[in-house]
Amino acid sequence: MSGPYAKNKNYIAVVCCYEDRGPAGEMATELTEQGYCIRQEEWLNQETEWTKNAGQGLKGCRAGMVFLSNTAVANHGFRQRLNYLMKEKKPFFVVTLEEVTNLSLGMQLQLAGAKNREELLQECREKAEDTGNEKPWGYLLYVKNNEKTELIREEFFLGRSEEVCDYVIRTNSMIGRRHAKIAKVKGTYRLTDTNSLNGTYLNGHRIMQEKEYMLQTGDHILFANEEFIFYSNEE
Amino acid sequence: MRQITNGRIEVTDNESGTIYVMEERLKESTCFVTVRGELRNEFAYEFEDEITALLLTCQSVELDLSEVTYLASKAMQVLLFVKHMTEKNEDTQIRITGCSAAVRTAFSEAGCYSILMEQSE
Repeated sequence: MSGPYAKNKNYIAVVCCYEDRGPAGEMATELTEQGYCIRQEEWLNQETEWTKNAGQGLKGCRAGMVFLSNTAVANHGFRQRLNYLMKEKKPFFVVTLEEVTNLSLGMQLQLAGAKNREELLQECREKAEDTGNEKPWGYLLYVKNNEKTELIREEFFLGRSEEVCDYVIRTNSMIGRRHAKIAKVKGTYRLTDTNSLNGTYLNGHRIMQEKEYMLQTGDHILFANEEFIFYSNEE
Repeated sequence: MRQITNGRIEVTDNESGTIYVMEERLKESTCFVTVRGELRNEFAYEFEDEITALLLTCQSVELDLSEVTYLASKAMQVLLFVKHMTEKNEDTQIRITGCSAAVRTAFSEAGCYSILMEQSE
């Protein structure tokens, strides 16, 4: 993931068709300037395939912002995305760009479930602020590039899959889909290998799968062949 | 291309004209859908989008396929997907109230006839 929505679990996903990219982009920019976290996928045209990124973008969003037009409702990709939002039970609000005359019954019923725009935006803002107030309890230093990743949630998953991990190493096939977990439990820090194929090493020793190991600040962790150093903020 | 008028979705192409028609009627929380014509691969996505939308919003969908004259593999896939979806979600159900010979043959040849029958019960 990249862009302003990275690691932010409270982003709003834009659902629109290629032809509506102008007004949708303008509104996304406006909301971003107001402090909302907006995620835009590649613009959809009629031929756009349902990409992995698009699915993940919708699955991880806090809410959807649906741009409605006659062109959009005739677009298969748009309808798929709306169905996906509904399936994942994501709240959404609708921005009507024009009077829409070709609504099927299924879509009429879906749109009837849309939320009030201002209320949903307010809810997203409050959630985002809540997250912003959480203090990280530690961080991981990625030895390769000195990047620091803060540990905020009590359970932090690392792996190759954006769907199930908080930190994603996508380019290394040695890393498992959900490779390992770092957790804060009653003031202590624990490392668990979550059944990875290529293993997790703590200070040079391979740890057993599904078994918790205590972590101390400064510990070196190797997820397959990716090296990190764990630091606690509370010691 | 599709045209929608008063609960009727008509899927057409320039060469063949009307390919299939879906008629929808909502009664309380059940949607009754009748499909007429050929559910071809290249237009199955229209059927899929609409059936999925209905299942996500209605408690039950009654699907009449007794006037379907051709059922392509993608349309069959949609029906199997829909079954899977309703199995996972107990709040929603789909019932096939009518089956044409073309539909029965397609499912039999694919070895999925028993699945179709389960849905019809």
